[in-house]
Amino acid sequence: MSHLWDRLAEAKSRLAPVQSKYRVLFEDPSQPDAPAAVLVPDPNWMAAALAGNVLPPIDTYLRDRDVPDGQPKEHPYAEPIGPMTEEQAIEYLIQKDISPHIWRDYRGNRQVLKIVPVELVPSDRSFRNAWRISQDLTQIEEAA
Amino acid sequence: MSTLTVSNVSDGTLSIPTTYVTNGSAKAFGGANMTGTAALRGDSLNISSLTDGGTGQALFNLSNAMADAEYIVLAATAGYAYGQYPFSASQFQAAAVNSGGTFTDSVWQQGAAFGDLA
Repeated sequence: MSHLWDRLAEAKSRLAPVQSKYRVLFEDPSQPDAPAAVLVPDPNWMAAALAGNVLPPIDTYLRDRDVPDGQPKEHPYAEPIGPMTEEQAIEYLIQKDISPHIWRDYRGNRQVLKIVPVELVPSDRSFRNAWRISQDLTQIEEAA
Repeated sequence: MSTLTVSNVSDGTLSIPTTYVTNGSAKAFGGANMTGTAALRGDSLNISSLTDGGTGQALFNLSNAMADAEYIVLAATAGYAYGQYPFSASQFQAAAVNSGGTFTDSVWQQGAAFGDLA
């Protein structure tokens, strides 16, 4: 079984990068004063996700969250999964790169995670540290 | 994929163990333009995504984690680099500040990670 890093390096040499048309907006309920964050998929990673046979199953990453540093991790050695659609890849990335207490465990009334087209992320960052996920519209609004 | 097993590499005069090459190679690198709509830019390796956490704060997420959070991060920005270090075994930060020490967005915020992979 090949190592994940080897497959990533080989895929990078073979595949053209793919710019995602999505961004993921999220807020951390445990840090209510922090601005909304934006998750940006890496183009080389997206190309590997769409091609398949590179990335490990997402549940290997979830189990590895509970493995202490220095202990063997599962995700580099797991059998890779097949190709994904871009939407499936974004859902995979949410589970991998956003803390579960935001996408899985939050039970409050506020919407703390949204998948939006990249065009809806503001390009004017003058008040970047005041960004909040709009609870009514599908775009970030500056806090009142 | 085939494997070439070599103990030493040589230029004809000097030779070094291949472990110097493998241990000294970056295990991950990536760059970001944090102005406008933040986006990854330039080349990347072993990066799954960028988290734009606020002004000047670029957090790179790794696809293949490092063995622990004690790896080395080398980062640079078009402004003043600040706080480039491992956040965890699977994240490192490459933040930028202005001359007054205030976080600021930079057209280039990039970093590379050196150490052992998980």
